[in-house]
Amino acid sequence: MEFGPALYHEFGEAWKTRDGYRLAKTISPELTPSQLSSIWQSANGAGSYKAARDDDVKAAIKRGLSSSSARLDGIGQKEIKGWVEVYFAYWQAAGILAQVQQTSSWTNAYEQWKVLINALIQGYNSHEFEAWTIPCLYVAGKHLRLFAMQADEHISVNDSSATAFQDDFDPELQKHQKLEDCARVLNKVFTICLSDRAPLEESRKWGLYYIVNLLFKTYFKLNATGLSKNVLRILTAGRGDMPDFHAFPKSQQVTFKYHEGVLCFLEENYAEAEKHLTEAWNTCHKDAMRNKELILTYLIPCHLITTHTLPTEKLLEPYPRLQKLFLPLSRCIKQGELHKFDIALQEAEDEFVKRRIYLTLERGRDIALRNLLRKVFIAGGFEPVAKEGDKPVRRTRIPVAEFAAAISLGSEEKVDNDEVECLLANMIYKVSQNYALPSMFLPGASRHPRLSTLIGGLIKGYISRERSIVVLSKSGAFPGTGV
Amino acid sequence: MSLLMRDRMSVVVVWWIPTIDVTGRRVKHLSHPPRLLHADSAPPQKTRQRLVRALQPLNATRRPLFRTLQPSPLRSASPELPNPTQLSSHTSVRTIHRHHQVAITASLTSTPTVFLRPTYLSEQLPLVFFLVSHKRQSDHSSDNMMPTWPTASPPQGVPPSTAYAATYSAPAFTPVQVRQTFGQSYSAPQASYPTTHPYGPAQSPPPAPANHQSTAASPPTADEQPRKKVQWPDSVRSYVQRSFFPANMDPTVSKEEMEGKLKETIMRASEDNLLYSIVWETMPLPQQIIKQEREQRAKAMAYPAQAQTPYSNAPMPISKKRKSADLEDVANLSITPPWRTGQGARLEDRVTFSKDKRQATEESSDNTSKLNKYEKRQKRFNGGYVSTYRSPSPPPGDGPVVGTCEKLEKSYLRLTAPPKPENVRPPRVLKNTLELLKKKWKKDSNYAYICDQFKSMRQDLTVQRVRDDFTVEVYEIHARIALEKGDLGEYNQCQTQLKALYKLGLKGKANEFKAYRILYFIHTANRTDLNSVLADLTPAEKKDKAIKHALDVRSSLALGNYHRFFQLYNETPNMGAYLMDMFVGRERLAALCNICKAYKPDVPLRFVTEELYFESDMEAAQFIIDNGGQDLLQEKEDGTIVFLTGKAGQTFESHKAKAFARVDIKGQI
Repeated sequence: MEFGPALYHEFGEAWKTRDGYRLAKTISPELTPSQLSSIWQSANGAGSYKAARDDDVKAAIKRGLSSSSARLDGIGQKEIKGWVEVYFAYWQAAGILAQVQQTSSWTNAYEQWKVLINALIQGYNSHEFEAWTIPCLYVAGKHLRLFAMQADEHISVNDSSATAFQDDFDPELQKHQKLEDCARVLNKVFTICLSDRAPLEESRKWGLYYIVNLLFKTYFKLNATGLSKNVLRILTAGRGDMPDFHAFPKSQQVTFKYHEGVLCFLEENYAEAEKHLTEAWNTCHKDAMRNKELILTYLIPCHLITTHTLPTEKLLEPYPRLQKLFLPLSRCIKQGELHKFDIALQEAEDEFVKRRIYLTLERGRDIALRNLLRKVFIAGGFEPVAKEGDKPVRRTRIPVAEFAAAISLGSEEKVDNDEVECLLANMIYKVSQNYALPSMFLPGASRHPRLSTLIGGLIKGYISRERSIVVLSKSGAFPGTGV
Repeated sequence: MSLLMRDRMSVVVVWWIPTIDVTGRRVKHLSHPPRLLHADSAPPQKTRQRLVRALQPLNATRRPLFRTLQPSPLRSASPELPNPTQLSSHTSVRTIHRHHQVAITASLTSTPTVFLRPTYLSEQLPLVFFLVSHKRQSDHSSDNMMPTWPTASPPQGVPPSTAYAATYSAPAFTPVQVRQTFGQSYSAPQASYPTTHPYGPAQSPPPAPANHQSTAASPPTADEQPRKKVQWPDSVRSYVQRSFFPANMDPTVSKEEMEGKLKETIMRASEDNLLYSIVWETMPLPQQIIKQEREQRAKAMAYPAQAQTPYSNAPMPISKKRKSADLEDVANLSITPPWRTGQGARLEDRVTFSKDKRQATEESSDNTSKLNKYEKRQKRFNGGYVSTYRSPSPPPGDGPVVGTCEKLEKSYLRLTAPPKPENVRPPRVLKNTLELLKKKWKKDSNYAYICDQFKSMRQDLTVQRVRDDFTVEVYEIHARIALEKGDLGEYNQCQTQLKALYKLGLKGKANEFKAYRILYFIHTANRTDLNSVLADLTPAEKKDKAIKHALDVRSSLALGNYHRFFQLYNETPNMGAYLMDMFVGRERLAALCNICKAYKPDVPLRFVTEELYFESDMEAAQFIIDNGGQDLLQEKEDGTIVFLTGKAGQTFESHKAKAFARVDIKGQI
């Protein structure tokens, strides 16, 4: 909006209705370059294309804001002073942004936008900005992150000298210089929201989840998930003094739950992850396909681990990308085609790794193996019936060699019996919950030993080393699969 | 025989098969004699670690003990020893033993009485022999031996410090110092200057060159160092001319004094290589200097020190008031910080100057030793440099430092101020340092020393922004040594840097280190980083032997396939085994839990030994016992020992949980 009566009027109107989002619109940079440059020129005084002196511009803004808010009660001189700084920073940013497409001086844009957000922070800290204005922080924070990413993209790796005196250097840091800086600024914003002690109705705490979501996005991009955990911890600790989570806008809830879920997922805490992701899934707007797709990307592997269930084709129908991702694997798991599973996993490896689900999906191999062994068991048929009328009993003593043959199916490699026994032992040992998934990466693997015995393995039975056979349980050798 | 009869015996184990040494070169021959190791009553798994330690001087990649023995050249090296295969009539269960010789040897340095018996229990080839010998060897504790490398020779070109003492015994006096070599010419200035010097401005022949030659020839005590012939720059010539302009003459200063001072000034400038850098146009004329000095001398009577010098960073005579001198130092630094004057002749000047200065200050602090004890200590910490300029976080400089230090060795000190070129070794010197360190490591493998030296090398490279193949080599070697010593903190630092360096496209053993990196993340259970490593690998890299091995290790663990895991453990290429050793213990526990749950009623102990790749049944048994399974071993009538898996219950679960508790490594991000 051009710096003129219209802006000042809008400012006054927003103020009158205490409409934060309306106010936030006045500092939005989401404008065309021509709009931005008209802002830039508008404050330069009547048609003068030369840059006016800063003080003149500030004085003009101050006059405008004062006149439009003269009729308002509640706005003090201090606040006006704060807003003058904000709009002045915005005006300068507009000047840079109008040019940014040609000059690609994104670093400048970022730095100037940082001035703006700092002016806002200053406003909350010392100019008594009211809590309803926090949408301005949203707009400022959101674009700060976008500009930072743009700036990092355009920055060349070599023109930083800040690391000269460290013993070692880290190019990763240099690559995300601005975004790291952005994370620090956002953290400041997070703090001013969190530390507000005003009563909940007029507390900046209502801005928390929006800012936290921004922080999550930033940290994920920076590959610093550990920092996200810190934020989560702070939130959990302060939850008592905060508005109820469900009172926040649903969009914020969904984003937050998604990130919380993914964080648990990355820590291999699949039960928690499933809980959060499911909540995100249920709250998500039905038409937000992209978001739903993202949620499913993690929820499906989660389900595979926790409940051994695979997505139905109907569920995946609207998401061609997910179909491509998960269907081949699902088919192999269902059929117990071990070798094909390996191939499918390998083929899509890059895709999986990029989404950080490779390590989880890899465990689907256990399920595939279980299904294969189950087939062997069923193919074994029944023991000869001793007496007429007796219920037939499945053959439960199966030579290891039979399993070995099944496992080698389709593959070139011969698997020796010791390895087959090892795989069987795993099946027996592993529990169907994530508590006792393979030892690696799971420090708490046996944190719940009792639970793990309760749940039992994928197979019930034992191996007799001496006779090289597997003795399966007569009742429910493959728990949860009907045999 | 009871299972626990292994005590009170020493164990001889032969170590062999280095494939590469720390420098990554393939090693064909054993560079050290195999060591004899005594492991009196240490439990086997400790034995193993001790072996690792004792064999460090081998300085070579260690393969898991005896797993893939190659035909051993050692056999011919020690023909007096019996062929091991004769000792044990059994062929091994493990395929490798049949066709390979196991080298058996005793220490080659001392000859203890050795008699060998086939390994008890283990009917495999005698991996382990017991010998009754309690003669300790101390050769593997070379850590205590400090290297006796001569320290670098003292800096050249610094006049003997006594020169100052001789020339200036009084504390307050002329501010400008004269080198000893000038002492002579100073005493007889007339000899060198023609008395009938033409004062005319234009036609006067430049006197300086003639001057110089005569001084060079005349002093009988002139230092033997040959003086190079100096071409006087025009600015100097005109300076001399200006000095003798009638308008500039001062009646209070005699011509002799003037000539002496002039000569002194110029000669000193030339000796300090400042001829071209001093702005002669603004240089005070000799008569002015003399007058100034006179004034100061007068002042100095009242207030000692506070001397002014014609050019600000000239060596200062050091008075008792050290503080003021220090302040001046700081002032000088802040005007032209040393790291600013990065290149060219100026730099050289600065170096010699500061060396002079150091000498001077050290000398003076000797005189006033009590007062300056603290300062002296501080200087020692600073590597002998007067560094009052300190700040917790040095401001970034304008550009990389160009080092001028010629010393080969330098101990590591974390920078708290911008590095000084004279403390930094240029790559040329560092290359020699690396060679020296490699030699030293091979010779006495003093890790504390080596690590310190490598850290300082890395620092020098970093402050000079040297990122080339040599940098890679330094980091690689340091990483290998750190691995060998199990110093994961240092290793991780090197690895992080290496990753960055490889990313810059530098050549090195990228694949080898990528493989280590994967193993390292397996050890630290760092899933996020592991995922990003996977993301970074190219298809070609995935086919690389070492990387493929590491990936297989990862996948076998992820799927709980311990059988495959321990096979891979056996086949570890390069130095990966050092890393795998770190988590093999916990994986054994995990596998043991697995076996206990799955097998009933029991399994032969041998089965455990083989599946979990223990060296011997004895070691397997010890492992079980150490983890609380003492009641689970039982001897059968036919002599075999079985492991009662059916009765194990939750025995190993708590140990496993403990083993998998978070890995905390110093220096990990």
